Amino acid sequence: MAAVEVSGVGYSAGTATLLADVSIAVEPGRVLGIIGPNGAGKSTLLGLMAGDLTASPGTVSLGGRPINSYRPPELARLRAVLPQQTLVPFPFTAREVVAMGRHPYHADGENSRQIDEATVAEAMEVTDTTDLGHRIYPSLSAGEQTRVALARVFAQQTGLILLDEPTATLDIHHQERTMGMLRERALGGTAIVAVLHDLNLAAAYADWLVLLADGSVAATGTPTEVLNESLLSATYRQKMRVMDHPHRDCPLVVVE
Amino acid sequence: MRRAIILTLGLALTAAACGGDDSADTVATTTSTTAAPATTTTTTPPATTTTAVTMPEGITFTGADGVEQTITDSSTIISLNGDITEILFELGVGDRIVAVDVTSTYPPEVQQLGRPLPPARGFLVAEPVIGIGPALVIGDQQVGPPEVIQQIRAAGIPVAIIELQSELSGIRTKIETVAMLVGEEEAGASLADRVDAEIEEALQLAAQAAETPGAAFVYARGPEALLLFGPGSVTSALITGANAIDTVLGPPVGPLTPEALAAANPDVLITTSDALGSLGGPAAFAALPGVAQTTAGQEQSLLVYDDALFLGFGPRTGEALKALVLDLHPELADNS
Amino acid sequence: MTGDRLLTPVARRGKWLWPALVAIGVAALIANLSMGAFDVGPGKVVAILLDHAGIDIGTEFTSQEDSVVWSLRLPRLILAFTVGAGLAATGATLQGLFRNPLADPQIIGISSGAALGAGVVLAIGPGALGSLGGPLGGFVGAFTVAVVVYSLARYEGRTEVVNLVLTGVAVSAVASAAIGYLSVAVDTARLQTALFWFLGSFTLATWDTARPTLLFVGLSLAWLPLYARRLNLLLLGEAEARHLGVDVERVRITLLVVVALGVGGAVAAAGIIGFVGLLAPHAVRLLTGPDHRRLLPASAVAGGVLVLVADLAARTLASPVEIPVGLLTALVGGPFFLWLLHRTRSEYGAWG
Repeated sequence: MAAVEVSGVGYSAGTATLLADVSIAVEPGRVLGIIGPNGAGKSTLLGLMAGDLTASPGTVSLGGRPINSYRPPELARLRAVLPQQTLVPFPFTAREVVAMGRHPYHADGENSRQIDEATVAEAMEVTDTTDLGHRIYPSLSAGEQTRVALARVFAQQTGLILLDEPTATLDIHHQERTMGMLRERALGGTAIVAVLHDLNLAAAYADWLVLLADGSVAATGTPTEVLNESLLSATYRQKMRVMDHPHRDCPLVVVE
Repeated sequence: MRRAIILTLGLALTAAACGGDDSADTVATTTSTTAAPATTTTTTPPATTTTAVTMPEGITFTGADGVEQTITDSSTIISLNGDITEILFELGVGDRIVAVDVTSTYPPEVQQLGRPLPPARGFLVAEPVIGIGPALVIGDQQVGPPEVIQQIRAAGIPVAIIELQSELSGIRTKIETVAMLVGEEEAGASLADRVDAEIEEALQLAAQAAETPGAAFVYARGPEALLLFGPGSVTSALITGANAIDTVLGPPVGPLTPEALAAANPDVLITTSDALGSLGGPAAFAALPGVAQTTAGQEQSLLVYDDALFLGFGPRTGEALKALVLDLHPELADNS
Repeated sequence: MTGDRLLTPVARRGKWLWPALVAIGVAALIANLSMGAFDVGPGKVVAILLDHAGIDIGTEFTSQEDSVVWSLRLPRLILAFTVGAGLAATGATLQGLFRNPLADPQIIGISSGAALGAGVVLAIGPGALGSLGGPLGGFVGAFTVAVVVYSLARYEGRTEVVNLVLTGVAVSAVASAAIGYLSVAVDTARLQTALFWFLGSFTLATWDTARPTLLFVGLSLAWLPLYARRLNLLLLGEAEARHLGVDVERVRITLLVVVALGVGGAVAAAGIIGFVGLLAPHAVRLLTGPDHRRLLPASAVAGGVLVLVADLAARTLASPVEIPVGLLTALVGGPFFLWLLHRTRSEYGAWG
């Protein structure tokens, strides 16, 4: 059963149609990359999957049930969202921010205490943010904030993780590391959906890609299938070349 | 833990609200007090000890606020209104007054009483009154706020509220009520007789007037608070008594607007010295919107009187009325 | 509660906070009972208080001193503390709710709404509601304004500083005009003066007038901490809070109700006292950080102590005349507000 599935969904804001007739199924244990030029509807699609937006027409299902049949607390245990904007202009410490990821479980009582403590620690270690724990969150660099926010998302321990451009603010080391973490999570059974700007990261780490253009699906398939020169060049309106990556088993996209 | 504290605090407050305390002292009588605590913030010199309790059996007085109280002692008095202060002095018991508010400006002896209380007409405060600890407080219907009066009574100090008078014939009632409260009925009766006679004299003088000019009374507390006093006010009674027409069409106390002034179009404008001072003088008064359009404004007919004298409606009313009569009808000067 | 200890707020420089608050609070309490138009020594004050509890410690005092301390100053003190606590806690809540450091019941107009509501009830006559009428009217007025300001000031999920303050100013102006009109048109004895409403005063405090306010503010103070965690999450952002399971709309409406309860009760009893909801939470936040689990209780106590001190000054600075309390809080709070406004351009948005 798909972790999340969208069927024939469309979404409009005012007179603008942001998405039309999109159907995607995301399986547990897989990394789905959503790529496409700006304004293609990537964030909108993610928003639909997160339950922030209501599809019209079409349906969004989570774990087999319509997404709007879940109450917010239930939903919070099933899916976590890393937003594009991680600015929090309030002087929480990084650790406090990560700990907020445990909120969906706080009503569970005594037994959850140790689990919460361990989960937060693990999430921070995995994201290399343990040392940032006592720093004031807004004083961190954009990259550090993203990693802390990611730790929060991991601490939420959900079967589905939705990420909106998680690597946009990271340096190369952390880009690779983050995508690696996501792959590992997927291997552990989590379904990962990430909107990615960087086509090569998408190529290297995603199992499955969806290329959006002007609100509809231009292509879907493995990176090798989707990262097609003519398609990419037409979609991005930029001549590109696709070749085999010299060191990895995936395509490499370069701008001509 | 913190949440427990605030939860408890909140619930405790709620419980306190539901339970609460009703310990209002219901002692209606007070014997004479010893000297008030001498501190740097005391507002008056200590009340003198007196062994003579003036009304052994006590009188039961139901004030104009409908509250019935038993008064057994009036050896030390706080007077909350200027006219009451004047009456008390005329009755010969001025030495019993231990504190007044800002409206008591006559006779000059009141200046020796030290810092006056906050304005009793709406801004009274209980603590200084209780601190002074008088045997009796006397005020008219406009003193307040009512909660403060309540607080003073709850401390065992009776507050006698006398009725506001707006007719010349009511001044007798005012004098006699105050006299009764302080156990000086005889002095009160003769004072009332005297005042009535003075008023009567002025009325009869006015009756001889040849013309009946139109007049209007203006009051001010600075340029932002301009008032026009109409029928039903004490100034209206004075104007009518002085054989003039109160040309104001509005309520006893209403806002002064150019329209109201134009509608009234008095031949003479009347005001008090404090009001005029708060505006900045006769020139500023003449410049008020609407004044220049009246006959009074064009002929610069403005009469100014002392506040306590004119507005007090007390023992000096006869004097005030006579002065008004002569100012409105100068031809009567030889007849007075 | 149980999950709390694990996720205990990080201790900041806040070690001295509660000891300091308690110490100042006790000092303010004694000062308020002792000082005034005339002073009653602390020894006598204690004797009087114990006497009402049935304990005689031998110190003598006059019936005047007893009356002033027990029937005047004590209910007034309790009312002042309660009003301060309510205004501070609701101020902190509004700042979290609107994600805006400048939110405070008076600045965004909620206090004016409360005054209008209470005033209308008093003008018409509370009737069967009795002494609950004023606070109930205050509650309705406060809630109405809260909803209006909330709806008007939000844009794309955020409340801009300018929108919030301007909306508050506009709504305040309307409510103030209405209160002003009422206080002229209606018999003052029933309504209280415009001065009372606009500048606040505890002169009228008695056990009777204090009780309904204790009830309303008490309910508010007891209810608010239950939302502390969710307020924290709201600060992450509306969408983030929703993602973490917070029913944002319901929490918002509930919090507005709770805020209206507290503000309604406070304003009905003492008029509009401004800036407490700004001064107390911001001062306390420097020591507690933004975590509402620590911020709310500390703000409440700090606000209560602040108003106690302000009322003491109001009673004694120009004795026997009483300065309106709101004037004093504005004197301190106004410049602070301007400074805060200036700081909203910094990276922390004036929260640091």
